Amino acid sequence: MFELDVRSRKPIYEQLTDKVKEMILHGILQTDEQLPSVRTLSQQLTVNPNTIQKAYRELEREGYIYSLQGKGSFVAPMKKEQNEIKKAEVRAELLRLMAEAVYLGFTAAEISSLYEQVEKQREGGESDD
Amino acid sequence: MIEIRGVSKLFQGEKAVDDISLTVRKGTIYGLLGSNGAGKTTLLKTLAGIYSPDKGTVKVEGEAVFEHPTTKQRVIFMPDSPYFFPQSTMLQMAAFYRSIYPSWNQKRFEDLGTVFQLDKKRKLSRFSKGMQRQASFWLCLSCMPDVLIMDEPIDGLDPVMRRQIKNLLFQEVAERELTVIISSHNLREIEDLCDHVGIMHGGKMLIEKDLDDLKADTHKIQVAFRDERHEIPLAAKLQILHQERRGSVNLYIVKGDRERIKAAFQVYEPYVFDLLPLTLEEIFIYEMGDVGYDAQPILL
Repeated sequence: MFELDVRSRKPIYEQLTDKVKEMILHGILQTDEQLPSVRTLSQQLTVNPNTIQKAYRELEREGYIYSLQGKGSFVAPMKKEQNEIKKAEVRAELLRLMAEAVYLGFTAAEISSLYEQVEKQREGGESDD
Repeated sequence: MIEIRGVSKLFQGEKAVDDISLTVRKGTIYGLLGSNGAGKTTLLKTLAGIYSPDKGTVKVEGEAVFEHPTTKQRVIFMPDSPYFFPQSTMLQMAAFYRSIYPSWNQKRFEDLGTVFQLDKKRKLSRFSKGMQRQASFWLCLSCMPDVLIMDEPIDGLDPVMRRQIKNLLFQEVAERELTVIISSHNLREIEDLCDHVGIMHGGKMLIEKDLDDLKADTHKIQVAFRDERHEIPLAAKLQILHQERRGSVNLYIVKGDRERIKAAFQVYEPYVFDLLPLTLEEIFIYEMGDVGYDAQPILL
């Protein structure tokens, strides 16, 4: 379920925490879903179990996961601030794309029509459920 | 837990290991790195109770190692070139290890036979270098030690076997808190394997740290300033280990907190700004450069 880039300069421990956070923020890992045990993940990824333990501890400290004695680690309910982090990420991404759009000559009206288009799709999608 | 306190070891008046203190917690995978002749093997052999330290103490779980068979029964030392009795087979070596190590696990020895597919009845001297290395791992892991000390264990093994052995070691660490100490020059392997590293030079320990902390603490920065004068005030604000200029791009090696360093540079809104974590190899080379041991730009 996780793939690490062993050639990356980024420490494995950081890759792990970032990956789990990303999966929680994107809803791939659901609230209360169990994470693989340190032992299992260590064997799957061929990663030092101490590194995985450390990543889990850090995630717990930051409130992304919680652990139950003898049962394992689980995804914590998403908190408001995590939502804010996600929003900040999207905002940065939008700004980057928007800068490109403005450079290419998009008008404010065109951009706002895109917003309306997405919103319409979303409403349509919801009525289908 | 392994405690090394003020250990020195002399050979004919020459200090191979010079006043080293080191603590390795249970369940750690510790990587010992160093220049050639830095004293790694001497330190490992002292740790394993093969050499007696001239000064200082070595303790495993609070007990001395040298000439203490009860402590030694829990420690295994794997030398840089595997040694087996002349003309012996795997089965004969297994019988010998079984008689020495009370923790020998026969079931584990047989289970590991599916991993190491070596002929147990063939003479070990007829095996290739890599196969002999596998045979040593097989014997060591069957002894179920609490402490496994390995001197250059990785060379000679093919990539499949490396991964297999790493997985076996990780399993032992996760399940029974095996403590592993490895010396190697293969820094890529050490980087993937260890959680703590120590770097030795000239019998001294230069640096000793959690690997992730070490990597999170030193950064490589490539920057192209809008104005060359911008680089002057930076030197006062940051702990710069190394600096060089490649055309209009400046390369820095800086110690400290990532966000703080980023902020310090971005005040000047440089054209290019890249902050990368260092690899273990780069850390090794810059630390060695600091003590005057570096590659000379000589063309012969």
